[in-house]
Amino acid sequence: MQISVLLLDDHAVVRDGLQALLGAQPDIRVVGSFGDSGHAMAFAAETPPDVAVLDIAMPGLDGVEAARRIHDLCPDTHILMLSMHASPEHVYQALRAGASGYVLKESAGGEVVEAVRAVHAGRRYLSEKLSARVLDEYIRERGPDHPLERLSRRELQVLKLIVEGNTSSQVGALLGLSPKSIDTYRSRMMNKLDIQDLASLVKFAIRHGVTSVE
Amino acid sequence: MAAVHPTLQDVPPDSGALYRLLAELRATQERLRALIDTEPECVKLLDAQGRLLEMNAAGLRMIEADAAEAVLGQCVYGLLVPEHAAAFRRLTERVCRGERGTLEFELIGLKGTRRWLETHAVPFRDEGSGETRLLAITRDITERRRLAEALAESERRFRTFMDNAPAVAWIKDAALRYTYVNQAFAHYHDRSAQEMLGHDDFELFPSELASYFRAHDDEVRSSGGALQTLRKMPQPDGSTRHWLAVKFPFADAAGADGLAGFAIDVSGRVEAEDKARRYADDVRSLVSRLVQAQEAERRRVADELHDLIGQNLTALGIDLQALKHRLQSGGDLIAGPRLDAMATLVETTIDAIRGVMTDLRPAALDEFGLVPALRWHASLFSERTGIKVSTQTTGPAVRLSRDAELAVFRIVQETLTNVAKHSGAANVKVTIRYGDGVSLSVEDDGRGLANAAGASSAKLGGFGLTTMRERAEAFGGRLRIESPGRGTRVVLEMPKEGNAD
Repeated sequence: MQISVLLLDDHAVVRDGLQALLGAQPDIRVVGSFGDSGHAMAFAAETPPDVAVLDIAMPGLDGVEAARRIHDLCPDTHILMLSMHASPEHVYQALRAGASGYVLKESAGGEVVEAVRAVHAGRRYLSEKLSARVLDEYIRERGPDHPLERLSRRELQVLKLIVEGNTSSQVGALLGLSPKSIDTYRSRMMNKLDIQDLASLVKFAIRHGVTSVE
Repeated sequence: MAAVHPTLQDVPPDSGALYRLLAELRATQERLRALIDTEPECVKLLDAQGRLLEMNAAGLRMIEADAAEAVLGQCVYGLLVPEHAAAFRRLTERVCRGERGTLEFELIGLKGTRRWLETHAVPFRDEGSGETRLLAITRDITERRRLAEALAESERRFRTFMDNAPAVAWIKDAALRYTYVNQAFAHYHDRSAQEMLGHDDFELFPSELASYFRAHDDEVRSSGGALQTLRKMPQPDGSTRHWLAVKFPFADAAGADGLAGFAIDVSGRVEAEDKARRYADDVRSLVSRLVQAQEAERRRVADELHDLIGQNLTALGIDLQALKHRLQSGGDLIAGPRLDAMATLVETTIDAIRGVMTDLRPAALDEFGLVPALRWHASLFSERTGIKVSTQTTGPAVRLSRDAELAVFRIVQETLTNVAKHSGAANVKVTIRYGDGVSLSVEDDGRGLANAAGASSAKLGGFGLTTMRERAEAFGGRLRIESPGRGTRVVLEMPKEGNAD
């Protein structure tokens, strides 16, 4: 049984190279190769691949977010991140979003085949240069996420304005955005915080000092 | 006093009456003598040659004679200071010819005390001899003259001070008329002091300027205290200049509420300060624009490295591997090792580019904020230098604006670079406190600023530090450096205002 692989990278040269390299392996079959995440998501939803190889830095939708969505869409797909970035936070964020492998682009040629096989077999794969020990130490030191740190700057702004009693259109007017995008920010934010209603959101905001009690 | 000089015609024939009359006369003479002796001023009688005929006790004290007998019959001219002797002699002779006169003169007592005296002399006809004498009352005016001289000296000193002062100075009476102006004042208004005295501002100056002065005068009077002002003032020639003025209530000669003041033209200083401030602002904005331009350029280069060169090299690396697989399956044993060498070269090149990229613009900073970026930078720094860095964070991380976060990151980066270059430290502690804004400290255990080799004060106060300061201040932050002997601590406080987006 061949390993079905989906590629998502906005750089055509990299994508083509990967396709050639992976496609040459008898046990691997590239089932889809995409330069934008919209098409990739649609494809994955339709035919979940065994492994998704994602570029971490893509304009529009970053690879971490793409990983999170594929992880949601097809929980059985193993995710392998490709990245130029070697910072432990990059690795940590990718793993937290559901990736099980992280390969530096410089090592992609030598490692990607092995990495695809490893994550498909359910193992964690990190580029040789990324010491697992350093990463584990980093994650231990960094401590658990503060709930507020999960929010983007924009989400934090929206949170503050909403709990201060503004409607979506008022917040939109204040930030120069449409009420619809505010609703999107709002639901994404509540999702991230695992909060279901406005009352709990206000309670959360007060507890964490986002807004003061009047 | 008419009874003191009875004539023979007044004497009644009967001797009992004469006896009574004589007794009365003696009594009157004794009263007169007592009166004269208790008189606090000197009373004396001289003949035309200046010989002392009579003198009361006060007079004897004045000339420091122990007894009248010692001086009676002697000429008094010798007691006078030489330059007054002639005038006194002339007075004596004039009075003995029947005139009256007064004279101020200086005398040296028998025991050497100098005194200024003022004498009022009248002719006195001696019935017995028929000669005219000088009868004089003389008072000691030494103290009065001393006071007058002191006053004149004080006045002279005041004028010398005032007329040599670069400031204009004036005194006004209760009606706000000038009672004193110094030379600078008169000179400034191109008039003589005399012309100005007794006049108020409205009589002397154009009404606009006069109203201006008057408004200030009213302010001083209503405040009741000294008032210091630095103001732009309309000038007689229509221009404006900066004057530093002090005005204060000043009782006039009659004790009424006048006022006085000083003012000095500080236009030169004010203009120089303005210029210096403008230069400093220019330098600051230049530094800040330089920093911005540099960051923009760094970002552009980093993006280019990542998006183009990095990706192309990545593709190249992948292609080389694909090629190697194909060749190996074809059994080519010579090309294989060459391909391996090429792949290694590509890999180390990407690695190097990543290093440059991270230096130029740490991606972790833009994406995840200060703490992850600083931790990452610290671990790379430790790897490179062998200096151990521990990073501690308190409070929930708040994202600042992109530029503010970059500023903080660069300050820490620069600080760590300095630690490696100058301190000889083995450990660095980075503390990040989130609260009302972010407060950050970088503390090393090195030799301290005072002992830092190669870190001349010029270097420490130089461009690196200036840029760090400017970066902090651009976001309302404050940077301070403490070095109490051993170790150095750089503390940065960024307010919440730096938190924007």
